[in-house]
Amino acid sequence: MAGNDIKQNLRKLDFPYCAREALCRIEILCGRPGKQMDLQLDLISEFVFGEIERRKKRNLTMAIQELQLIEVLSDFFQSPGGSAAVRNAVFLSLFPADSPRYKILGNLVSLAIATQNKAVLNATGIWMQQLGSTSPQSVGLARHVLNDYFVLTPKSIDKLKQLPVLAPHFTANLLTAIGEVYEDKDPPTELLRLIGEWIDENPSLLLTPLIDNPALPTGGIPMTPITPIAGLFRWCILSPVRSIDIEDTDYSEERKKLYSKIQHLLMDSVLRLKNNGNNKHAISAQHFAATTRTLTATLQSQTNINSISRDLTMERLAQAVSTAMCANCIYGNKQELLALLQPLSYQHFLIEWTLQTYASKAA
Amino acid sequence: MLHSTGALSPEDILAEVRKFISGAVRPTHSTSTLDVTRTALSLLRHVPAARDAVLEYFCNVFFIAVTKYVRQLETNQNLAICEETIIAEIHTVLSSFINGNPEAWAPIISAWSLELLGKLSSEYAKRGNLPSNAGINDFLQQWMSCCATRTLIDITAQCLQCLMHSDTESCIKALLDTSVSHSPHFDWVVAHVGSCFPNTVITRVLSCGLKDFCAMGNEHNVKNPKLNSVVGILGHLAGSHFQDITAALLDLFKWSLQEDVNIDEDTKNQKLATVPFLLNLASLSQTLLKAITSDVLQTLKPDIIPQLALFASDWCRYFDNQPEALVDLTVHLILGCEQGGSQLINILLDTSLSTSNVGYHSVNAAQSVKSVCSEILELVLQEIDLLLRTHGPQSANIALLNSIKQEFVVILPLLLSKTPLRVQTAIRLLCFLGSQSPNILISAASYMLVKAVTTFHLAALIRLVSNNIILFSSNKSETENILASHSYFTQIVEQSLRDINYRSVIGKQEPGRFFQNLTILLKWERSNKAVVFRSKMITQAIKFNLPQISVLLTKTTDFDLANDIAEMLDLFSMPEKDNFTPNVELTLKLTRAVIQYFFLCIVEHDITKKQQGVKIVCHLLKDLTFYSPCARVLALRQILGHSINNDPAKYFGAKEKFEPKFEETLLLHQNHKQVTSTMLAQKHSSVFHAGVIGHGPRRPPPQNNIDKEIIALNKILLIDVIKACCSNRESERYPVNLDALTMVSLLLVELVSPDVMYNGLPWPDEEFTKVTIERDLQIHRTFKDVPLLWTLLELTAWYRPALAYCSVLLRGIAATVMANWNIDEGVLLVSVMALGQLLPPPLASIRDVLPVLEPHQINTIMKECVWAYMRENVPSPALFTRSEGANIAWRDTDTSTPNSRFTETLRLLLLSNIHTLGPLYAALFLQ
Repeated sequence: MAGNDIKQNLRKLDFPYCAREALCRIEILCGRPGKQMDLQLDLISEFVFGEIERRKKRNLTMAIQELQLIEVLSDFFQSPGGSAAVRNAVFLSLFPADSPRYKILGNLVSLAIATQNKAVLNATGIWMQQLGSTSPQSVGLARHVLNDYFVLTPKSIDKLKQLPVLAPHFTANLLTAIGEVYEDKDPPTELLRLIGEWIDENPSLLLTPLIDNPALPTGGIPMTPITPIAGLFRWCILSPVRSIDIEDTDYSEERKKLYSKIQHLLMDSVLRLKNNGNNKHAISAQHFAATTRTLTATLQSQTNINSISRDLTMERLAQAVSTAMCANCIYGNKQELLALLQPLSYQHFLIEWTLQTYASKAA
Repeated sequence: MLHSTGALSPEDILAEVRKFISGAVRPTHSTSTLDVTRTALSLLRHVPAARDAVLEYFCNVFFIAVTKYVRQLETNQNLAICEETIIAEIHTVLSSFINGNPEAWAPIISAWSLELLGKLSSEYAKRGNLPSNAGINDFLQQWMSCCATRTLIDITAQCLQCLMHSDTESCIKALLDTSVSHSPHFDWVVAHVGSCFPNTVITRVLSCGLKDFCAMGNEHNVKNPKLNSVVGILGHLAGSHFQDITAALLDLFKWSLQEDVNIDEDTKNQKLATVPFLLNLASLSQTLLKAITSDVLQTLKPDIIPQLALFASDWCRYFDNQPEALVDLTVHLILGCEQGGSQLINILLDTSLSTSNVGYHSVNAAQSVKSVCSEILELVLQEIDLLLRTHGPQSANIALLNSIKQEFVVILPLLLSKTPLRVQTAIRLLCFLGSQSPNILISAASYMLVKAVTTFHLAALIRLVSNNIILFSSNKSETENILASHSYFTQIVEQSLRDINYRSVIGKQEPGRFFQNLTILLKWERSNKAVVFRSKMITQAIKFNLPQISVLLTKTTDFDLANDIAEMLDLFSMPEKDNFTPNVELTLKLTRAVIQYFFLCIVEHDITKKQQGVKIVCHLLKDLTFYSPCARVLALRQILGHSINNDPAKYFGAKEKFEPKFEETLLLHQNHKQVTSTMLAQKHSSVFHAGVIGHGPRRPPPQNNIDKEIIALNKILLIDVIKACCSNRESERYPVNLDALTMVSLLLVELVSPDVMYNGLPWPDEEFTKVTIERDLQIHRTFKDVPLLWTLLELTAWYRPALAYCSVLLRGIAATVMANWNIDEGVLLVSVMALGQLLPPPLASIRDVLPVLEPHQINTIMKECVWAYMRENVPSPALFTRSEGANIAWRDTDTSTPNSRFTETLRLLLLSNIHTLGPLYAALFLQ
């Protein structure tokens, strides 16, 4: 069927039926060779998101229609039949990297979490991986989810608990993004507790991106997965030098324990990679290097950090680096990382030991 | 129930979402709004993704509620709106969210509610029953009685309250942004929210308005809608937060004056725009004008004005580069000031008169500031004048004028300023005020009249008075006008007199100053040089107020004041025969007053002043007594009575009045003195000649220690005054009226010997003195105590035959001289009698003989010559003949030559003392 015919037919339908119908058409188009990308994009823009001027009338109740659309999307992805690869392709077309549809995506994911819509979550996980889990888009999505479930309706945190079981790939990517959300500030305690539980109950969660292969249509190139390990290591390493302002002892006591727990679980996960073959890409040396730089800068600029915190933060850094080196799962410029560790080695023996132990190996 | 359960299964959630969507998208279907709303609320709690949709759905609910409300308003129905219960539920849920987590929810909900309020306000602005020109308060009234909008406002206020601590700026910004996009229908929201957070909202509204004004600034010609919004909001807030607004305006003004080098271009522009902005605000609202004037004016000190001068040219940019427009606006604002009017006028005056260039960036700037100030002042005055003339003084309602009327006391000192401009301004202002309420004019004029020190100010006063003659003339005919102006100046004088009489605070100098001023004015009037005085208003005024003036003169003990009054009266009564005859009462009052003044003169130490004063007294009394016999009687009686019997007597040589005083001691103390000794039956005090028991000998009366020369002078002055009282205008040659002097002598008799019996002219038999001895002694003592009596007798003796009426006095003294052979008194007596031609020669020469005689000879001569002669020749006025036209009577010496019976004794006594009295003998008896 020619593109114009499809459009003419769809125009006869009202929203939300046109959206539903358009999605089916796009799925069919996607499944075929010679995908007619232009037509797909036209359909998406006009019938799914109603971004074409002609359909402006329905903008009167935008948010409700948005909700309707989200409902249609959830329904579509959950409907039986159709291959996961094609669905994922449709999903990627619906939310390309440079479109302003993140709000709808956020709400879609948020609703999917609430309704345990596995199809949508999986598709989102692949979307995140394809765009890069640490990319601004993914971080934005993670922020949206956190805002919804931690800030606005804290009662619904329970909904997140089963997430690793439900959609491990999505959860792992989300975790990576969350690690970036709190790049330069402390995450809330509830989040720490949740992540602790996640990793504790699903030891393989951190490595899921490395194991699962995304279902992409033929010809699709999977992007390098990024594990949450480096991001979460950063939290643990930097937390002692950040939390000095918090005076509430009970509160900080709990947080300290949570950090220690996460640090332990992280090291556990990394060490589990040791005997695994395809583990080379678990941690990026750049990621660690960035953390090291931040730490060095913080230690230099803030002189009022007590020695216990100092030792703890450097100890964790050394543990992270040495564990990763030991498991041999670091990729990228290891020399640079070690060079950055050099100045800190005078301050902590564990770093010095790490340097001595692994300097030769890295070379 | 499904909605309230804590955790929902994923399927339930999906079902709920679908249910909500179907309800929300097709609201007309069977699903009830209430159900859908409950679903929505449940979604809001559990499904974050549906938040926006739910809130949007709520918008619909509110819209429906408001539509129903407005329709009911329009059709005047009053039915229950079912959405109101739903709205209440929504309110509960939303506020629980806000309370639970303000940082997260408040921004979302406040943005939503503000947006919704904005839409509702715009949408329904034209609906309902409000008139097209409804103000902010009408809107507030309408929307606050609507459940939906009231709920929204409550929610908004709650959100803002939560955010206010953390994020004030963005809150108010959101509020004002909405306000901008829905202006002016949204103003009521800002106003209401503003009254919850007055400080922040007022400041922010102001600064927002300023920014906008600054941006519109240069090219704005049409009325700025934003400015109207700001005015509306502030106007609403002014009701309950006037102080805050005042403070905010003041802060803004002060901020605009702060010099700060490190500011960006925007801030700099805003600072420049502040004053034009404030002026524009004030021009749009009387309330704001009031707010600005109440505080900003206080800061407008002389040191600030040079600072302002720097910006003036920049301000003009906001008035289409027309300085005239700025000046015009300023003038009209000044006219609208309800308070601080006098302060404004003072600032203008001070600035335009200031001679210092300190603080200005150039001399030219200083000059131009001054000229602009005086121009503004002039324009203000002209404008008032114009308004008064076009609307009529009573109907023109000029706030500035009312304000000045209240602070009238502040304007008054300007009247006495040294600078002509100030005086003129004050006078013009007062003329304006006077056209509305003449009382003000009168009190101002009286203030000037009492306080003016220079003739310049008096001239100004005349201008004030005469200006108003013109002002009054618009609705009065010519004759009435003159009368009006008369009574007008009269009222001024009356007012001043009242002030002087009853206000104790008035300075000591001022009453005198008042009369000096009156004198000056009177002189001007008399000089006939100015046209203004043609109506003789000063004379009329004084004439009308003479009773008060005379009362004041009677009352006062201050010689200087009395002197001023007297001088004024002197000048007043001096002139042309203007046939002014006061009634009896006034004449008597004046007479009494003048006599009071005379005695003040007598007491006065400065001889020059004293003499001048007495001269005035003479002049006044001459006038008064001439046409009023009553005045003469009163004057003579007063003068003689006081100078003989009362306190002033001592200034004429009388002995000091002395009342021996005995202190009454307590009986108890006296009993203590007795102790145990026997009690004698006696009074507690007994008077003896020598003194009083228990008090020692009687003390002699104190000596009269007044200088003899002064006494002599006083006597002369007294005689002058008496003569003045007895004046005779008809003939220049004989200035004294004999009848009047007769009155003097009769008065003397009455004062010294007020007996009924034996008080006639005839001298009885010498033996009869035994009967009258007591009275004779009394007369003698009076003459001894009051030597002035001799002088007075002399006066009567001069103007024969007046002395004849004093026969009884002469007789009494003669009797005592016979008894105690007192040479001095004898000489005085005889010389007076000789002067009065009661004793014809040669008996008249007895005065020369007496000093050399023995006591028994004195007795003999008094008895044989004087007494016997007088018994035979009754001293009656009939003895004297008055030649035609003459004013003095003479006794014919030829016919009155005494019988030798009376002269023989004298002759014999001369013979016995021939060794000393030879020449006299020869003169008397040998020719």
